[in-house]
Amino acid sequence: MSPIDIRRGAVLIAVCLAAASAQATPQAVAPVTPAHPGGGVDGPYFPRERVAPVAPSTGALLQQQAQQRLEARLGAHSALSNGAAITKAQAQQNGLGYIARHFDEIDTAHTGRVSLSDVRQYLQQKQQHQ
Amino acid sequence: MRPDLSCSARSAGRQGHFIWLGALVVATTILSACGGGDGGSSAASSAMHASAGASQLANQAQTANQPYTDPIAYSPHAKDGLDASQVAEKSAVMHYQWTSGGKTLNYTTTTGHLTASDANGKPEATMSYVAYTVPSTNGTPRPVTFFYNGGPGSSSIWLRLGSFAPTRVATPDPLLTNWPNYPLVNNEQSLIDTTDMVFIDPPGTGLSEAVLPNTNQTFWGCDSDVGVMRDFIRRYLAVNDRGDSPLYLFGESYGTPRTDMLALALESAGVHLSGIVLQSSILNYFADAIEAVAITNSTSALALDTDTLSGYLPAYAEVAAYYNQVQPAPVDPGVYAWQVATFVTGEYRQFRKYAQTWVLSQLGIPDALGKPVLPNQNVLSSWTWSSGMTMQALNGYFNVNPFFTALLPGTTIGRYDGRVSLPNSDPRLQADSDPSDILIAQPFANALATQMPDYLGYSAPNATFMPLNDEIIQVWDFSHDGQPLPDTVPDLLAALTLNPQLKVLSLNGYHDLATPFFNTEKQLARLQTVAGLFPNLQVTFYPGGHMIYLDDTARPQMKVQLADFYQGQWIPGALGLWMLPPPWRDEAPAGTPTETAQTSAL
Repeated sequence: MSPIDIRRGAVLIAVCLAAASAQATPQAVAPVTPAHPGGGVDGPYFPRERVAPVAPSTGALLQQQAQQRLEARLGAHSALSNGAAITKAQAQQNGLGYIARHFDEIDTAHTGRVSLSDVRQYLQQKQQHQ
Repeated sequence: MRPDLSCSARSAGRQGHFIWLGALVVATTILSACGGGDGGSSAASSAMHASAGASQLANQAQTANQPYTDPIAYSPHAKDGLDASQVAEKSAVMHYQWTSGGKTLNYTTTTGHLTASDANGKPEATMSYVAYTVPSTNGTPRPVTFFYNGGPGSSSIWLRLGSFAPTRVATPDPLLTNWPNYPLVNNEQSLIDTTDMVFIDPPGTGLSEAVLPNTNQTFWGCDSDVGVMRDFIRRYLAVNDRGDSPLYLFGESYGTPRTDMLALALESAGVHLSGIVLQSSILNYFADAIEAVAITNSTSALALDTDTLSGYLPAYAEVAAYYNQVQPAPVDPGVYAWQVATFVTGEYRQFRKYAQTWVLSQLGIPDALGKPVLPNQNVLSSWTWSSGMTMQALNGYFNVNPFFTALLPGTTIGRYDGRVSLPNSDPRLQADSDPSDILIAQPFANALATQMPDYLGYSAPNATFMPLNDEIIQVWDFSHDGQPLPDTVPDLLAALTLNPQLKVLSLNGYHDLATPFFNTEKQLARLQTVAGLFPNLQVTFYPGGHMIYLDDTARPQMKVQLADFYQGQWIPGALGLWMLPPPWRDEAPAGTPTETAQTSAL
């Protein structure tokens, strides 16, 4: 190999390295392997144990389920359980931002505290005025 | 362990570049400015250019790119969590320009972590996200939309790389041309001119990890997942002062029941939502008898079997039409969907005879409960006119083999998108039996490996990004509200009770054989039975599969219709609640569809 070839080679290597420097190291990404063949990158996946069938609820039962979940989210089993009444600040502290936001409308008696039944009443009135 | 099998390990040649890690900041800046790059990222880099130079903004400091190398060794494993002292809310911030038609917008990408904390301020998880934002120019806060995929166990890269971000991976859907390397391109159908977008990875996916004493598995259940997602969103809004912005959720697949539950959780926490988008829904897990519920001879099981057979059939028929197995060829997929839905509703009683065999056949065990019961050729022949399907298509559906392999001889059709197919002999099908999953799984992971450092300016050299964590799928707690599986139509109703103005948009792909559109219509139609409920619900349909946006015809339509949705306008052609087919009356022994049930007792 002549000195010129070596120089050319060195230039080529330098160019390659310069090009490489403009390319960041790729992020390590785990291979995408479906949990079972055909399950796919986005599922939906199901539990391994099959469960007893439940018919889809409609009408009154559907409403009852919705109400139950709503009340659970609004503290029925925590801050507002057993008839407890809370202040606006307590509502905020317990993550019950909806109650805090609408506190004055819910607290119709202006006692500074609201209970689950006050919340229920507020929601019922709101639905009637839709 | 996964890191040994990572994409970067596969592209071993690139490991030589490790010595350049110290120059990462310089490299990414040069790359952005020059439009350089290789492989998947080159097209994107040339299509977009860093706006640092081009931007007219006076304050250069605002537009200077700030790449970030995150040293934290995030773990995706069930029992792992990070000590709070290790966690940092840091991010890479990059600036680019988006173009669509004659429109250009300067936007910012923010990639990093925020810490979700509970109401008492206790940290739960450090969560990875990518935000695409544009400053408001008219003094009115722009909407913010939070995107997430499903699984459960999936990161948000499928939506982020495929749908409405300012750049996307251009797939050849429904073909597999040039697999597995697709270019990253400027996304003319981005929603960046309508809304800011934040893509979230739940704990154990992406680079998200629990904070001790929690471990990742703490958040691997329907309810705990919703809690941590809610708390991430609260944190994002607080840190970025976006509490006054109109807020939207956009979930796909398992992301749709997650959205119903999350909407209720956020509204309860005082975070008011403007709208939710449910793409490719599975709102009620019980409604898929193939995968979810025990196959028994009970009446309720039989009803769910029949619902499932009927729920999949219209999507299967649309796929059959794609393969010229419908005669005459449908002129419009929407009109044909209506025809097949009418056929299915009319034959529902007949289908009861075949439903159990049909479900078992999809599972590959057609004779598990005795001799398979299939309609004879005369019966099938009598259905050709009303269904439009050829005998081949009908035989493919009512078959002892799963319809994925029975429609076309020697060929497997896709689950996510029935139009994507491969010959049964294709070796790729051994690890993944869904050709339409193959279409994106490895290509998106490949694209991500270079997109993160090159375009987002972010890298985590001590961690491996988890696009899909199958550890999660094995142990996820599916129970919700006292039931073993999530049925989230009650959660949606509860969210609507707290926020009656909540806009709800259901997006459906005609060719999705994972979460078929007719099933979704039937589940949403349950809301028809609630007296006095007039939700702002719109249901739309597109040619395409589970990842509808991959389709080059669907995506522009979706962009236009999503823009209508954000503006509070009615989408032309969308179905409202009362235009949906009425729900199945599963509680009735005859298993016949209800009359629209306004008579329900209250």
